[in-house]
Amino acid sequence: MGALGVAFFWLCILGIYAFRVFVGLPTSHSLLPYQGGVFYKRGRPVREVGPGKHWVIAGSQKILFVDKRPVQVCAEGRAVSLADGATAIFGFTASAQIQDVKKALYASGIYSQIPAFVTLCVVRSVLNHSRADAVRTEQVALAEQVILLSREKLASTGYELLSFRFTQLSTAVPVHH
Amino acid sequence: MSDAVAGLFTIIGVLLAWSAFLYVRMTKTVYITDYQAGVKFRHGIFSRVLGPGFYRTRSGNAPINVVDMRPHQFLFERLTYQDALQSDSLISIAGSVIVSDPYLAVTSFKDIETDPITVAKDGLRVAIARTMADPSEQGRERIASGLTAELNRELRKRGVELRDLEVTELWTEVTDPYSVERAN
Repeated sequence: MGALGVAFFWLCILGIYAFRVFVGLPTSHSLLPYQGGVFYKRGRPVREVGPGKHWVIAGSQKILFVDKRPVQVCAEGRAVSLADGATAIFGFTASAQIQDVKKALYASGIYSQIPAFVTLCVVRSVLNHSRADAVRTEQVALAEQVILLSREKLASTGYELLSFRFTQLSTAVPVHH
Repeated sequence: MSDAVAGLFTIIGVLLAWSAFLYVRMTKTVYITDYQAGVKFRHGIFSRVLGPGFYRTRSGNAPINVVDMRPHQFLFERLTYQDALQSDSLISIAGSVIVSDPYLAVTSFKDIETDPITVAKDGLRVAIARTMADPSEQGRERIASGLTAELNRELRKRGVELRDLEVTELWTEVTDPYSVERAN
């Protein structure tokens, strides 16, 4: 090897080594059927990606994964004061699933907690506006109201409400007693 | 090209490659997405806030603290208190905390996800006692906006703020709506 070749060899080694810090090496990520992801380039979202193998340049590009399987919510034995001063004891189960990966990812620091947060807030709010007689006789209507409001709020965070039902709903003694 | 020049090139190449090797070994890549911010320090002094992108930094002398700027939701359930009229009351409040100033937040809170919520709850207990427990729709909105304004005055000094505060439950022993009206 001539002198020029040696110099060229070392400069190539140097170039590749130094350059990879700023460009990175291609690596692949495989998303499973129940996962979704957002492809980022230089820190900015470029597109959503679905299941399958995806190539990224490590360093400058990134894929953030989101689990799209339904999130189950269960609350039992909670108390809420009603509009007439009585107290109701309620419990419910619900499930929700991510429909819009990007919306869900940006909606909260812990996106998997959104369904529990939203349904609990809505149930508490709906029951707090209801009277004891409505809690005793209009449980289906109350559940429908909760579903309607929850669906609307969850949609704005990229989720879809799959199911909701009260497992327990009864009135107790007034809270001030 | 003579052997001497080639030798010189080789030495320079080896030195540069070694420098690059050391640079890679002594630094690490920090990736910041568009919902994050990076607070960079240099030799113990705040340097700047970094936007989305990827950065190489020396973790010892120039650490970058990555801050999540997404909202963190909270729900305070059934807090009992006495309102401004000394009426026994009960309230549930939902809302979210977001980082408004990454540098202040990093230097004020050890855990940016949970500590601001604890501080907010603490402030809420004090502030709520100065409000009128009015369960009407307008009353709830007034309480939420009043609490937001009052708590944010303190929280903004620490680089975080409350958003979307909502009174999800409110009960008070005052049953005569006119007494609330008179007090307001």
